[in-house]
Amino acid sequence: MVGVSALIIGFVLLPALHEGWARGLWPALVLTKLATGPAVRYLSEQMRPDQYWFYYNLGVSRRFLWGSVGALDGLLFLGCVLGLSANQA
Amino acid sequence: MSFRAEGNPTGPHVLEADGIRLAFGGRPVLADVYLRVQTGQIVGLLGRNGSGKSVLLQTIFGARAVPDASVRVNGRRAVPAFQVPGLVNYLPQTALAPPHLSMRRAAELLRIDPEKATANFPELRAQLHCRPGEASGGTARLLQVLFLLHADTAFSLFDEPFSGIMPVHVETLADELRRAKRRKGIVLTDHRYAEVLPLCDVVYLLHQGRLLKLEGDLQTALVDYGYLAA
Repeated sequence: MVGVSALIIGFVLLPALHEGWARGLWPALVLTKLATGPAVRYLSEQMRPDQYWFYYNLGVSRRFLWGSVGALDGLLFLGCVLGLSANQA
Repeated sequence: MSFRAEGNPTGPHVLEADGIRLAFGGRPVLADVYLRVQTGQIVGLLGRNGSGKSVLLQTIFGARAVPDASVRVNGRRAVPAFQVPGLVNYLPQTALAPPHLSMRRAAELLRIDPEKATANFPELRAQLHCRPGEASGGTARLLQVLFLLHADTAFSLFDEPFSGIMPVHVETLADELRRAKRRKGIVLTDHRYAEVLPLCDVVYLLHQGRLLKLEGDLQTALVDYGYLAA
């Protein structure tokens, strides 16, 4: 998740800011980030199918875990994008 | 529902699972299974490889959603069971703790005192700072079994708790299980039947999708159902 954020920021947002065409770009970046969510979850489930047992034993469901991590990651991404854009402006 | 808050003042807590039907690729694995365990009991679950033992434990735990499955505690529905505080924990066949956590930290998150849990295995304490991948497989397994055994839950479900554990520790672990059953109900499945059978108050065999409660001469019954060689 963080890797996807770094890729979007590093390969799209930062060049756009550097070249001056980043104005109004953040909704597209957020949509791109959202679109990668299902793929990240699919790969995570395929590569680490046993990652949930510990959290189940803490009483945490898979849905709550993904929801929390997704919300935090989304807010972090949005904060980075808006912060970098505001600094450039 | 909070299990701790409700309690059962009239006697032991009873965990029941029934109506569990499951098929993989059209092949029925579990057919209308009923399992019962109460606090103060160790229940053994035996069966050939692929007979559905792990799936059954995961279904009772609530990690696997099965339509029509009913899991009840003291007669009240508890689905998913893992979300009912203080009700049940589960040891999977695979590693329990995330690879980035030390064993001590994993115990603390599970609200277990690692020193107390390893009281009868003092040589394990030097390994508590290790992450699961840094300790030997048997040591990591034993620590995880001990943590869940000492956790404050009414029931524990163990999938192959003796796997990879050396014989001298298996004997001490069996004693730990006997002590733990005074305060909880335990369901365990393991192919080390010679260790499992003497521990159990009730033995079930999963055979062709049916859960059979074995009584009488267990060894003979296991031979008859093809679990043991004649």
